[in-house]
Amino acid sequence: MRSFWSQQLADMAEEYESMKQRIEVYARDNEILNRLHSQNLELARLLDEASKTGEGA
Amino acid sequence: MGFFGNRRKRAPPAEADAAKVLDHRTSDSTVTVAAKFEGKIWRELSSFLKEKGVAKYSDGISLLFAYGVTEREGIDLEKRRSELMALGSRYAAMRFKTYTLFDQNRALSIALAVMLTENKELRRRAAERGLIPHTTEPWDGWTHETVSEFHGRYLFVG
Repeated sequence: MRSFWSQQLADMAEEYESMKQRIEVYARDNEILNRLHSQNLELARLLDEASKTGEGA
Repeated sequence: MGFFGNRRKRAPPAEADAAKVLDHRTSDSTVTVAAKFEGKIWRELSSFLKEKGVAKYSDGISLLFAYGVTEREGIDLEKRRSELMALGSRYAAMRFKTYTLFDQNRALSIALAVMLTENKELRRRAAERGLIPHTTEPWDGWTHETVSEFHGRYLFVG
């Protein structure tokens, strides 16, 4: 039989592992969503500058 | 020594009466114990057992005693507790990180469909003007289902 504290530790470790997996998914999503968002901002800035200077018109 | 043994040894005087053995009878193979718990301790114990899914208090208390006396792994109780505390604080930090990422992803997911349309259009216009080369991005293949997956993960959480 597992001791009381060992069981508590095992329960928490299991919960911690599941949280770690969730963070991995969230971090991956966050990276790509931010990349998309930043690219849109950068492209809008580029096009705005180009329209002001007449570049690529 | 098990959990209960250590607790008894270290308990401050005010807690000494929190749980009291009123009587015990010893036979060849068993010891029968009658115990008295202070109301506050009993409520805490009841709520702990309920949280652990133990419906019958008598089963739960037997289990707690059994866990306590079967602490035979030679690992110091204080070490166990500090491991638990350390894991607890790491867990709290991770919870915060999870919340932060979830919150950001939720905000970005709301605008995802619009961001994808916008990105397509901005890239087309920028490429036409020769401002950027034609490139392929990971989200080019994303469909309505992909957007729904993001919504399912960050918006429609039950």
